[in-house]
Amino acid sequence: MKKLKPGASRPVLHRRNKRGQLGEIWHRIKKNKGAVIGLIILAILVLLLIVSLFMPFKLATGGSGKIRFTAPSWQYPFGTDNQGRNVFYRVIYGTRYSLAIGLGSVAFGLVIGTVAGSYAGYYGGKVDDIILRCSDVLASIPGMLLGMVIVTVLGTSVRNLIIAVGVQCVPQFLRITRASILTIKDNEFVEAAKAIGFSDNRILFTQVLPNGLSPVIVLISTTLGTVIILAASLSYLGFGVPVPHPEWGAMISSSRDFIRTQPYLITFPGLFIMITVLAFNLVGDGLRDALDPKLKR
Amino acid sequence: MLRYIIRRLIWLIPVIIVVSLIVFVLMELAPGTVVDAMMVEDMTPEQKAELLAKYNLDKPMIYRYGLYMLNLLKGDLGTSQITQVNVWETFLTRLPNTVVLAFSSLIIGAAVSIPLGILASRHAGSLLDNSVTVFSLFGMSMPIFWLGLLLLLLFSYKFGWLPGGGTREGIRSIILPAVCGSLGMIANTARQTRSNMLEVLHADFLRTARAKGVPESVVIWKHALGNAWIPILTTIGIGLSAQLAGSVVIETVFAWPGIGRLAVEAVTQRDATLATGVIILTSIMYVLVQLVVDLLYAFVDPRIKAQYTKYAKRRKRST
Repeated sequence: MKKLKPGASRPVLHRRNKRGQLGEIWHRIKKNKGAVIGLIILAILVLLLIVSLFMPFKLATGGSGKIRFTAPSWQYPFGTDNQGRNVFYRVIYGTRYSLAIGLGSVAFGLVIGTVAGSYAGYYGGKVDDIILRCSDVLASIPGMLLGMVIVTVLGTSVRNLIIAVGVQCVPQFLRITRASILTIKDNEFVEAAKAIGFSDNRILFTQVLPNGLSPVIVLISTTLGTVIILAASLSYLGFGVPVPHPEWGAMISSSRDFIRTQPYLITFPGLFIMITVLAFNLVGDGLRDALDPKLKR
Repeated sequence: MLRYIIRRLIWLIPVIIVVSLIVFVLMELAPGTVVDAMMVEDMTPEQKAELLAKYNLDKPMIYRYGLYMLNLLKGDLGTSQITQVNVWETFLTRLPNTVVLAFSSLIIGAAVSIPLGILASRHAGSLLDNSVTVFSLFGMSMPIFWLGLLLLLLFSYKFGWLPGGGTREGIRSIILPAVCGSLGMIANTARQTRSNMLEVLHADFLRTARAKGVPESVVIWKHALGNAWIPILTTIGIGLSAQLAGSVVIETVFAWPGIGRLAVEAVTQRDATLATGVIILTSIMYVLVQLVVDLLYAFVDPRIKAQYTKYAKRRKRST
């Protein structure tokens, strides 16, 4: 317990009342140690991303044969790889892929899943049945395999990897939105909106959906972590970002043959994947606790 | 109960149809055919046409899909376009490897994670609890291929205790892939067990049980765990189906000749028949495992069993 100064309790109470809904959530996140660590890591990653945007592509892909397999040192903090490329630059440059693919595919799944899930939950009946069955079929194809096939068809590129991974986020978002809509659509304010003569779409997207978003928001942050791992795994298998691009999973894959002698080549990219995913998971946990006080003990 | 199982099994039919359609069409759209992969430099146009005709590649896609589905109805998944071996046979020779690996991971995972979760929940807030939480956070955030490579590096290359992949050394060669596969499951399940145990640990029925003089171990393992089982089982079930269906990564890292590896090979070599067949069979397996997990609920929780029977009765009345 922190010692309160005399007379400090009243202003604190006062401030608590003035805090809005978002302010309250922010306050709860701030109190969560894990979430704060996660946010700090994410901030550093975004900073790295911004720095890397000013890096020329050549810096990450060009190397010289003279400095192949240099062990980590002050000059080359993460060493150099089989083509004499500076792994430190490559890792920094690679930040963009994981973040872009993570955010991109979650956005993909979010938009399709939320819209389809809203309709399914709101209309019920046949519409619900059809949409739900489609999503069930999609969910019953093992993710990695579907991702591999989609990338094979579309070709290896960042955009296609986003599609391949994003497709797999759809069923989750669909189900959670549908369930959330179901609990809300029978409320009186929905009935009131109907009575005023709002169109179905207007009711759904301005009245019902905004009230059912909190489970969706939690899902966004927890999905980001899994999506980044999935994308990195696809890249590792060769179904991801094409070769010269320093995506972390692809970097590990291309250094696989040298791990006996140059273990640092796989250590650093992997460490970065793990830290990124860890940050998203920490923030996701914090967000879940902040948005759903029932779960917090 | 039986009705429920049958209903779930009938659900497999649309799954098979749609999965086959999706995968078939996708494989067709993929640039390059198996003939391109087999082409030799000095092939005459006639020879090429002959090859195309052999695989029906000169006919429209819809014809090939119809033919494929017709054969599928007869239980024939066709033969691989590259090795010329029956797809079903190839799948069956690879399946045991995947099943053995998945169940080894499952056993290690369940044996470690459940006691760990219970221990953490009983000493909530302690150093042990916190380290379990941190451990599972890291476990969930670790890319599995990276973990696999690190394990190989340490135990195989550095210390030389265990083989570096393949299946040649029997039980010794399964240790690393199984441990690697179980880590994600341990992380998730320990976390799930901890939070569900925390929910029931202060329930009134536990106090009653203790008041009756039931030994503490029975209180925890029977009364408390019995009521916390369902979400834990779900987590384990998801882990198992992911292992059976998506062991692609682990099998690749450890050169383990299972179905995941088979799928990667088929897709990379544009072997459309093999890829389609393997993915359909894996999807069926995936759905079946989920069915088994759902049925297991009924065994661990009598309340759910009652629901199934109630459901069946209601159906009977309405028909």
